[in-house]
Amino acid sequence: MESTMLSCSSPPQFLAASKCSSFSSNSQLFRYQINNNNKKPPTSFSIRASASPNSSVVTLLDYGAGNVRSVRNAIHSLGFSIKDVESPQDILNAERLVFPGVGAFAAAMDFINQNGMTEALCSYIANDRPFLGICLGLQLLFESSEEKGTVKGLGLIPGVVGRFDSSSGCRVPHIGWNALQIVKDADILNDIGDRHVYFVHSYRAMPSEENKDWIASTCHYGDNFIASIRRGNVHAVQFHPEKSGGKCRTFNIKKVPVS
Amino acid sequence: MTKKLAKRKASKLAKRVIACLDVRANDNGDLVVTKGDQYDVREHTKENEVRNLGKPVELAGQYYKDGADEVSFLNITGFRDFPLGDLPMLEVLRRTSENVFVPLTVGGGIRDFTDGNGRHYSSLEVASEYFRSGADKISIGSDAVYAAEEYLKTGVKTGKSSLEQISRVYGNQAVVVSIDPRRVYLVHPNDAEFKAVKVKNPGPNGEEYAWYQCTVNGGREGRPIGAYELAKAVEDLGAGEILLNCIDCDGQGKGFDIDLVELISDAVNIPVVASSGAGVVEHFSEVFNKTNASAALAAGIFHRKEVPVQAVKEHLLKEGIEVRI
Repeated sequence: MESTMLSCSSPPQFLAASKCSSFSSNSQLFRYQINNNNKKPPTSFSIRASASPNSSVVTLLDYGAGNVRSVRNAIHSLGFSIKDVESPQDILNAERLVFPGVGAFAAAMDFINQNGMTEALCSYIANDRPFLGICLGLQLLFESSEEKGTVKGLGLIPGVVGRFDSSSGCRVPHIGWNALQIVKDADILNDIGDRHVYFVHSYRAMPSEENKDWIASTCHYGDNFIASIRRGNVHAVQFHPEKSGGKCRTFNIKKVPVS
Repeated sequence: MTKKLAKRKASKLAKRVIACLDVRANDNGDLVVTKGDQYDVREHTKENEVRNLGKPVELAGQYYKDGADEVSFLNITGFRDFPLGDLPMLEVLRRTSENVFVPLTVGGGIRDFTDGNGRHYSSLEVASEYFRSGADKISIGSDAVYAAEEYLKTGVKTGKSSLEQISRVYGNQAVVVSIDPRRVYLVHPNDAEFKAVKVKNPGPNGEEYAWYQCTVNGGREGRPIGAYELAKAVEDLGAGEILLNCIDCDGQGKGFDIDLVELISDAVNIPVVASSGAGVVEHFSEVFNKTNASAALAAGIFHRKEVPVQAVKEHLLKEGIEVRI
């Protein structure tokens, strides 16, 4: 597939295709700016657009449970348009899917189940299609959550999502800017480095022997919990990239051709 | 931020510096940012005009660029004249969230109301509209005081208060309770039926104790409940955070009420945002060093450009307090 390069930097610059492919051999959904191997100035970021008709579209699964406007704004600010998921088929047809979970775990699962989207989501993710889950969008990938009794999740990642243990002296909800311990090379974390990212949640997934292959980063708050996961093209973050300070650094989308 | 500061490595949860904008409609219907002293927002002139200190969207964008970790809007505009969808504050949120990628909190007017056409809206509907427009959190004041009083009286969580309804639907983290207490000095700690503390600065008649009386309606009416009792009650009812003001300190620039912040941040297990009284950068390090506050908020000093947000962060870093760069 033929691809074109777009650049969003000042001054505009165009990268050689071979160079671009060196850090985007897999089709990736979102990435943070600054690749250390690349010689661009750190104030720029690049977008590589494929020539396919939907190349500038992000498919968004928003079930109306909270503030998704900021995610929409972040996507728009990167020059993408948004297609909202209205049917399971929209998930299967997505070129890149963003799932910014908000609200309660059970309500989100109810929505997914009642709209027949469970299978589509599982199949989309199992097929290593470009995916980014945010906050609850990460938690739903696990087997279950203890939020309001035990509620079944999508079951793609081993583990139970539980509440922070406030008896360990930490305040719950975990609100604010915290640091990541990056344990696995995950492109989308490249730009975070030593910076804080924004968290706001009362429940979290814990690292275990069974899910360690998924973990891309952890965060320390009372315990070490899972801050992000990555497997192939499937990414999910417990923190909020759309609330983590922007500035063309923390919430950039990399568009790459889907082959 | 300077490059030197940017080299600091993030290692743990940072203390937050929050910029607040007090927003209301002026007599022309424009939304303006105001900052009152001890909750009086009228200029003391013949015209008595609302203090116009800048446009909210632009100012929020500026605070974001300056490194504010959160932007908080306090909406003090009358609600009744607008159908819900047309509330000016919603437009401020929509436009602000286009360019401001840190959390936005909005407070004021989150209660049941009936618009000019006689349509009734529940507080949950009002909050939903705020969330849809770009708010991450809403803050509740007076309504939470009434809910807490009722809860303490009956011991029953009815689930019907706006606090409970909104936190049930959107999660605890989405609901902030804003407390507006006033210091009431006491000779003996048992002189009031509310939790009292020994104050660092004695009262006008040498009183060594005080309790903090909660108020409603922008500080105009005192209620029979203390800040301590309220904080614990609203934590039980589902609040995710407490925004702790202090009428005595508001606009004075003499520092946060350390006694109060200490009392409340030790009483609850949800984050407490210290507010009211910041005048210089040292006030921020003082509140973080002496209390367990998770964040500190200021409006006037940022607004009047007396102290830039960056200066606060640079100072905190120098003092060894972790902040986001």
